Amino acid sequence: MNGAQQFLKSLRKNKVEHAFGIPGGVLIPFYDELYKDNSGLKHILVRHEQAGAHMAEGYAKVSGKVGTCIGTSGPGATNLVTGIADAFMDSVPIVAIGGQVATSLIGKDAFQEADMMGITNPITKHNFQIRNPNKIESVVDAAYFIASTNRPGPVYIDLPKDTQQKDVTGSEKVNLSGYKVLEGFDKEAVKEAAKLLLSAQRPVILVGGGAVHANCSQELKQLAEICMIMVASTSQGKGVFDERHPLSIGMTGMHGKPPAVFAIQKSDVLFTIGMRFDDRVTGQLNSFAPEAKVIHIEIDPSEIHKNRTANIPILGDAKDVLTELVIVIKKMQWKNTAWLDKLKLLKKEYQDDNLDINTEPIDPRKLMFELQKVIDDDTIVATGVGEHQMDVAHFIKFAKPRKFITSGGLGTMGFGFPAAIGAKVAMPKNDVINVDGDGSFMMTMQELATVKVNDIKVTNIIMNNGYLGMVRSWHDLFYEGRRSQVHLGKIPDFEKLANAFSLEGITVERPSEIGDAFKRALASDGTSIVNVHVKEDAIVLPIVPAGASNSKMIGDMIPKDYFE
Amino acid sequence: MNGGAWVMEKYIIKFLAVNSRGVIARLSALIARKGFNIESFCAGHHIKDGESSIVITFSGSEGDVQQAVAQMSKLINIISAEYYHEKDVVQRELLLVKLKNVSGVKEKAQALGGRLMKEYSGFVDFEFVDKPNSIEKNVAELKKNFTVIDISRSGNNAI
Repeated sequence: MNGAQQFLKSLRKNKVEHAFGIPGGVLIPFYDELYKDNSGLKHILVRHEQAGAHMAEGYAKVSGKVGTCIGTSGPGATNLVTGIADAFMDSVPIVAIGGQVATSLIGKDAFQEADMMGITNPITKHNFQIRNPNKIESVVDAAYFIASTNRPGPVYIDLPKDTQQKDVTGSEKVNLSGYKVLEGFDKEAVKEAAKLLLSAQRPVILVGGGAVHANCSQELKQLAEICMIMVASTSQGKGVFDERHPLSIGMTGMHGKPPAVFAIQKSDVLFTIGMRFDDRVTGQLNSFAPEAKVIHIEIDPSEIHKNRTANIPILGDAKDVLTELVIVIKKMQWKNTAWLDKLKLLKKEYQDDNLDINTEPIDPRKLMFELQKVIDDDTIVATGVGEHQMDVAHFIKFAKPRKFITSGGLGTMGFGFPAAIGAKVAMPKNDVINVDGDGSFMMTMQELATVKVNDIKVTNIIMNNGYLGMVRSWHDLFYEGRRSQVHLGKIPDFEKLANAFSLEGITVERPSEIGDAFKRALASDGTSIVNVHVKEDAIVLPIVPAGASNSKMIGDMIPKDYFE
Repeated sequence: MNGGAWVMEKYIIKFLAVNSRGVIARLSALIARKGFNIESFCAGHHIKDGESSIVITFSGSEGDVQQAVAQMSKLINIISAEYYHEKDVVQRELLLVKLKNVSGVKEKAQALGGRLMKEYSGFVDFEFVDKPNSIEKNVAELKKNFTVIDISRSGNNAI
C-alpha cells in the first residue's frame, strides 16, 4: 500500500464522508487513488479552495461533524488560508489538507511551494507535515481527534508528494502526550455558582458558540425556566435557546437587541456559557456589565480571565456543568419577579417586530419580515458579512442551534454561499438559504458552477444595494458621509448571472413581490438567486459605535434615557 | 486583564515539550503574536527521550503569567507548563566572555567568580555561572574596567 492509499483509508477510518477540494500537481497520487476508490468518500470539486474551506465549515457547523477540505501545494493551499483562519476564530472543527512539494524539494523554493506549516501555525489548533508514510494513519487520526475535541478548531495537514508515493512499511505513532481531553469539572464551583446565581437581584444568562458545541440546549432551557432568568446570546450562540421563548431576550452586542444589551449592562450576576467576551459583544471592555459578578463556564482554560475576570470560573463541558447545576439549583428556592417583570416590559416596549414596511425602494427590514415567514425550525440560514448579516442576526428568530451559520470572529465576506453549500451537503433534507450582500456574494460566486454540476440546492437571497453597505454606513454615521471606495454599482445583473450557470434567477424591485419570489425560489429544483434591490442608504440600527461603552447604543427606536 | 492591581513581577515558566520539529517555532510565534513580555528562553533535552525542557523568564503581573501559561499550554506539543515566582526557584545563567588580555584582567575576572577557559594571542575567555542579576553586574564591571570583545549568554535557566 502506498501513502496515498493509506491516506484515503485513514480518512475513511475517521468517518469522512465528504471532502471539498481541488486537485493539483503534487496531489495527483492522492487523487489517482480517489479515482480508483469505491469506499464511498464523496469528493466535491469546488471552483476555489477558499470556498472549499468555507464549505467544510458550513458542513461542520450544521452537523457537528468535522469538515474536510483539500487544496494542492502553493496557491491551492494558500487559498485555503482564509477559511482556516475563519474556522480558527469561530472554533469550527475542520481538517484542511494541503499538498506539498516532495520532501527533497522543501525549502528549495520549488514550483508551487509555500511554507504552509509557517503560514498556518498561528491560525490552526495544530498542524502536521507528514514526511514519513508510516505516520500517515496516526497523523490523520490525531488531526480529526484534535479538531473535534475540547474547544474545536481547524487542523492543517501538509502532505508532500513523495509521502503519497512511498510504500507504507509499518505504523508509527505521533506523540500526543501534550494533548488531553478535558474531563470532569469542579463541583464545588458549581455549588458556588448556584449560590451566587440565586442571590442575584438582576441575573442574566449569556450564551455563545461554545454552548452550540456543547449541545446543551436542553439543560440551558431547564436552568432558565427553573430560575426564571432571561437568556441573551452572542451571534454565534443564536438558537441555543429558542429565541421565541418568553425568556429569550435576544442577541446582544454591537448590533444586539437593546433589551439584551441593557439587561447585561445592568446585571449584577452575569452567567456566561461558552463565550469569550469578544469586543463586538462587550463594547468598551471596562464599562461592560460594570456591576456584574461573572460566572464563566468554559472549555478553554485560556479564555477564562482573558478579557474579563471571572468571579466564578468553571472549566468543563457546558452540558455536564449545567446538568449538575440544575440538580443543585432544584434543591434551592428562588424566584426573582421584579427584575424579570422589568425586562419583560422592556422587551415589549422595544418594538422592532413591526417590520412589514412597504416603502419603496425596499427596506431591508421588510426582507427580514418576509424571510421569517418562509423559514421553519429546521431551515438553515447562512449569511455573508455586512449589513445583511446584522439584519438577519438582529431580526430573525431561530428556534434551534446550528441553524444560523455566520462568520463571527473573522468577519469573512464571501462566507455565506459556500458555507450554505457545505450545510446542504451535510443536511440534504433541510432547506438552506444564504442571505447575502451583493459585495459579499461576489467574493465566492464562482461556486454557482459547483452547485449546478453537483445538483446542490441553496436559495440565495441577495440584498442588493450596490454598495459595500456596512462600511458605507460607517462613513455616513461617523465620517460625515465621505463614501470612500464603497460604491459597487449594480453590476452584475444577478438574474442573468444565475441564468449563465443554468440556474434560476429572480429579480425583485417592489416589496409586494418579495413573498412570492421567496416561495418560487424555495420551490425551485436547484440553486437559485433572488436578487432583491433594496434601499441604498439603509443603516443597520441600533449600533454601539466601535470602542464605545455598550451603554452608548444609538438608534432611532431607543429612548434617550434607556440605559440611565 | 480587567481590574486588579497591575504589578510587574518576574516569573519562571517551566515547560515540558514533545521534542518535535517546530516546537520552538510554535512557542516563539505564540509569544510574538500575543505580545508576551519574555526576557529569556532556554531549552534542552529532558529526562525522557523525545522530551525537552524549556525555561522562560517572563515579566508581568500574576494575571499576565496565568494567561500566558494558559495560552502556551494549548499548544499540542506542550506536555506541561508551570510557573513560579522568581524568588521560589534556583536560577542560573551561563556567561561566556572574551576579554583583551591585559594586566589584571584575569585576577579581576577570577575575583568576580569567573573561570578561565582559554588564553591565547592576546585574549582570554572566561566562564561565569551565576544568578542573572549577578551576571548583569559582572558584565557591567568587566566593561567598566577592561575591553570586552564578545559575550555569549545562555539565557536564564531555573529549576
